[in-house]
Amino acid sequence: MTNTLAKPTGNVSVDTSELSSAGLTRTRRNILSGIGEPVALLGALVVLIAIFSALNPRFATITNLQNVLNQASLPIIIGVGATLVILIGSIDLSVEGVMAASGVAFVLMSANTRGGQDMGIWAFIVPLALGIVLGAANGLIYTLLKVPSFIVTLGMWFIGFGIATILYGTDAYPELTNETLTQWAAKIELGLPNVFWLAAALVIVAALVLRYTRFGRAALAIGNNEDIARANGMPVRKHKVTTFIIAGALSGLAGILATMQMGGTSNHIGEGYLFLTLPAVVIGGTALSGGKGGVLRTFLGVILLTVLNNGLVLAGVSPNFQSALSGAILVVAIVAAAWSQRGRLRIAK
Amino acid sequence: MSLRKTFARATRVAGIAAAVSLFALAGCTSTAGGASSSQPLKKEDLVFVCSVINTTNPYFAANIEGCQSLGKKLGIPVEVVDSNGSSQTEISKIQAILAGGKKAVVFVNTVASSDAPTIVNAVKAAGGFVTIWWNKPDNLDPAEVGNNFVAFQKHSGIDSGKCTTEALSKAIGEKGGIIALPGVQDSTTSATRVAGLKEALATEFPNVELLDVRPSNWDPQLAYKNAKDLIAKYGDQIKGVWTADDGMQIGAMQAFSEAGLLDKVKFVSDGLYPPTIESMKKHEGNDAIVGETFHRGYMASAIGLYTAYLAAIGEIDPSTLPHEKRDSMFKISCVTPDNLDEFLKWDNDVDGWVDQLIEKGPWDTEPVPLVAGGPEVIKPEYK
Amino acid sequence: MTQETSQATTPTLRLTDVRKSFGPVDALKGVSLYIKKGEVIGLIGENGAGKSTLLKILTGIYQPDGGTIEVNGRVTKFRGPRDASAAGIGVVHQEQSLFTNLTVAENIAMNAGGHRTGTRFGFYDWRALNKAASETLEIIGSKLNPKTRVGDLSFVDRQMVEIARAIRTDTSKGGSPLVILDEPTSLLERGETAVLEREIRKLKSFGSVIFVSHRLDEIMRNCDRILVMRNGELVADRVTESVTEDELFKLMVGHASHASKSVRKPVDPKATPILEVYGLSRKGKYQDVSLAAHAGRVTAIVGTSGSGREEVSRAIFGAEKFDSGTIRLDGSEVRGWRIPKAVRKGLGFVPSERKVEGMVGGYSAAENIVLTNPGKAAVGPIVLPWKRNKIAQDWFTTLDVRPNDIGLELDRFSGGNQQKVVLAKWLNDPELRVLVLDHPLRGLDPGAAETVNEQIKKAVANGAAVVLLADTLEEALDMGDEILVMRDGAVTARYDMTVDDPSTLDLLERMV
Repeated sequence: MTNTLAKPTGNVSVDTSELSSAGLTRTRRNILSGIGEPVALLGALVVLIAIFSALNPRFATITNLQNVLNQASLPIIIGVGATLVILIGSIDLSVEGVMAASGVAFVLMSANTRGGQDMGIWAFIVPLALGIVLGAANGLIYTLLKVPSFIVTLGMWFIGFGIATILYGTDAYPELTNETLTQWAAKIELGLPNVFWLAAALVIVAALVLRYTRFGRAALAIGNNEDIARANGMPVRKHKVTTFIIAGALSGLAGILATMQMGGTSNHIGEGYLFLTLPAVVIGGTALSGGKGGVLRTFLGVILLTVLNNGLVLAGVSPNFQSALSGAILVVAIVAAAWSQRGRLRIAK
Repeated sequence: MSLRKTFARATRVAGIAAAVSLFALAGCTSTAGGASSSQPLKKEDLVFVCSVINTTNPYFAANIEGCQSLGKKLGIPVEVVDSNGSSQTEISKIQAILAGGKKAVVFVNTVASSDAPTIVNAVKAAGGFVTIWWNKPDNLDPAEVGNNFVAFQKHSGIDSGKCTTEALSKAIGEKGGIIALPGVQDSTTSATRVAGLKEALATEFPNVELLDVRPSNWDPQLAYKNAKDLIAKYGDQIKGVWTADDGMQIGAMQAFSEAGLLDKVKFVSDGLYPPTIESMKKHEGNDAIVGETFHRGYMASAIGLYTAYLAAIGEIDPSTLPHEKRDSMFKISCVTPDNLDEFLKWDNDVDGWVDQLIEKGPWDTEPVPLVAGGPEVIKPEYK
Repeated sequence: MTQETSQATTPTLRLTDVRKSFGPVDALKGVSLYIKKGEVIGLIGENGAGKSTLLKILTGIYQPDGGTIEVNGRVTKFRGPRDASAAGIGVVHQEQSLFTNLTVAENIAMNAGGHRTGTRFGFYDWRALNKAASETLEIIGSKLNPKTRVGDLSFVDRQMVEIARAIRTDTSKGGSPLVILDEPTSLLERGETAVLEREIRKLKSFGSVIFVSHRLDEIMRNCDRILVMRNGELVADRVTESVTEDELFKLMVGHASHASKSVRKPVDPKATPILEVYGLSRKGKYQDVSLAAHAGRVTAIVGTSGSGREEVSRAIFGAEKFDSGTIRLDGSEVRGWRIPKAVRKGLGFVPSERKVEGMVGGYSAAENIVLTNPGKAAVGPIVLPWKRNKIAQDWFTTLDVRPNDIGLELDRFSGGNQQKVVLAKWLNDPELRVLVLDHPLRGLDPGAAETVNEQIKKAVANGAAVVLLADTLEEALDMGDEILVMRDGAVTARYDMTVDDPSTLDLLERMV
């Protein structure tokens, strides 16, 4: 850095130049560390891809790329909602319940093997609305009754699951009869599966919202310091409820898509998604304390996890070792990615 | 197994047995009229308890159907226990019913093997009678517990695995690669089916190669993902897909369908769920499904409840029954597209089948007569 | 009480008999005041005198229980911060209230009520936003890049952002803004304060200012009129020319100042210093720093932020690593110098960021006091609550901590009282040998500062060596037995106060 320290002026009062010198050095370091993490994550991803490609030439093929992106799509969509919620410093555990409710509603309102009426577009609108209602309930109970989001959304998980169970009844497993629906998600369009295009579009929209809208910036502000946000007259409650509604709607969408992918559904359709998505959000670098992170990072996190599992299967790692090995690789990758950030904790606010 | 190891195990088993019988003795003294010397219970004092893992899986839904049909026939009320996949829920709900006053005749499809002892002891303490289906710890022997644990019953997993593997191997011309998607890795049901698969390949089809085995936790979506990864890995080397149940088969077929390979690959599985029947009837994917097994949830629950019921009203004395009637394996039938229709007739008349059960008794009703005694042992080479 | 001269113009702000209670506590017992356009009003009072409550009412965070607020002659009710902001009242908080994860421009724009340049239908126009921020920053003479994340800024720069934001309220309206500066200088270095004072003079030209500070000299220098609060009441309203600092002190505290001038003892040439530092260097931070801390003496280090003195003090306490050089304790070199070892050897450290490093906010004050050195409160590893409470109660009495409730979570005390507790934590160590103080008086009102200084002097008298990073040069000159001046990481001057008598100007010349 060039010398920003001013010569003695002889004048007691001035100074901005030399005073901000500390500020400048700090700025430079933080810009580096700010992008350091995603870059390191990307690096970890590249290393994984290189290793897996070397182990099995079929890994680095278009088919497998399509496969990985197809698998990553639903966690990405859920991850967008989860990231927004985590950014405001809350958490949404209701994902699987909402997915179950919307998935079952969707299949029963579409042409399916149980019969019943095909409601056309309503088959999409109603499940999404269900997600929105459950999300709004999350947000309102959380903000109005001041119950921790962890607890509210845990309850909503079971409520969603309960709704799904009631809707499902005890009849036979309902399957979609419309092939266009069941094939849509994995259908290749411009080289990549439809469902991935949808997920990517949502990520981009969410990234733009976070960057360019008052809502998005307010979400970051609330996550950074809720008290200051409130003291600034921000409609904190409104923003929080909105965030939960978005998360609910995205979970609802994921329920629909999962059902389309499976060609049918039961109330267990959402199982496993929550604990696939939350780690991906955190691995991406979104802080559970809120205010820091973003959907692009979550995107990276999901891709990293998906590539890891896909790569281990293709590398022929025994299922007995896969879980332990993928855990170990993750720890190494994250430690490597977070290395540039390790000093940050000491920077006082 | 070394001699010492065998000895060690023998003493351990003996110890547990002693502990269990001691417990049984204690139960005798505290429960009026319990165990073998009991007075037969009156029909109107009975309640049927039908405990299932969840209510949405087709197999468990059929369990309930069987309980209800038998209850209707015999004029005994039926209480359904939905465990919601949780051992906790299962045990607490059963205990609540046991506390209700009536004598319970219980069928349990256990969530986990380890639930069985707790349930058995609870039923015994309440003077009820129980039959456990599918899962129990190997060292929990009905004969050692006493008459209140009437029987443990299941279908042979090894037979299921052999059955489907034979169908699959024949369909692909007895050579080429196949992949297998078992259920939860430590599940006995899954492990025995996989053992059957491996045994059939080793003894009958040396040219069929098992390319990869990916446990998919009975989860259609995990099966879908694993199938996608394996397609990426092996491509058209895969001629056949073996799954441990029809749920996972749905996921796997979706994956192959998306890859445009459904016509070229053959599938076998266990369960013959409604979607599978539909698919077979429609000849989906050029008759993609080539082998299934036939055994039914309503048959299992009705057999289980009926056995316990007979013990409750004193028509059978469990202590005098031979081993295979206390620890039983019932027949499993192999289904192919050709003989599918023969089996579908049962599903259309559950009540009629229950009539036959009452007429012929729990061990001799077609198509699921008693075939062998347990426990089912997996040979180490097929683990 | 408030004297109202006949006014040609209506005051920008007028409060009449404003009251506020919290449960049984009357925080404000009927306060009346007025502020005219172009006036700079000083507001002083001890911690707990009611200043904070008054400011929170002015900014709409609290609603008064009684009385009226008039803005430009019209009776107004502030239902929330937004209303206050819309009325042209902006505030620079004592504890900074910026979003560290957002940019400078956003923080300036994200002002309640103030119209939102740069957003349209909820969408950001970053270019317009950054331009508006640049313009506002220019008014206060700051060249900060509006795109920088606030978290990446130094404390001073953040303060500039705060001021810009408070001014920002105005630009939307033709009216006269009222900017409240709530102890803005308490965390600033001397030179930095000068910048702020220049800002105050600028603000005067188009609005009015309420300036809250504990530094009476600043108040005297900058304000036209001074309001003194005590016990929830306004006890004096004086034109600056008509009062002296001593008078103000008396009005605030209710008694006269009795700070004792330090008696300087020359160093005994035969005595080994407790702690010596030789040629301490850390790349990019400081080079070749040496100093010796003797029992019963205060070594003060002065310098601007960036001079490296903070880093040196942290290295002495083992809180930061250094590249080369040695630290000696009682004449022998120490190895593996880390905080736990430093604490074992009798070092104490009062950090400038006490909230982050100095205390456990969620613990009670009593627990904090015995945290590092349980002393007599502990039997082996077990801390006996009743003994702990007795020790804590003794310290509370000695240091006059308010509220006098040792069980209260430390977070809920005011800054000055927290500082007293943090200090007590170290003073509680009977084996205390070296006390490193990084801005110990930061944010303290004069009464609290006096108490803290007395305790520091007492510790020195009892044979502790003190390394002091003072808030002001006056403080360094008052307390220091030796003064080191640092610039750009190097020691530029040393004064032995038993023989030298440097002026603040001498020090400044070697600082910048």
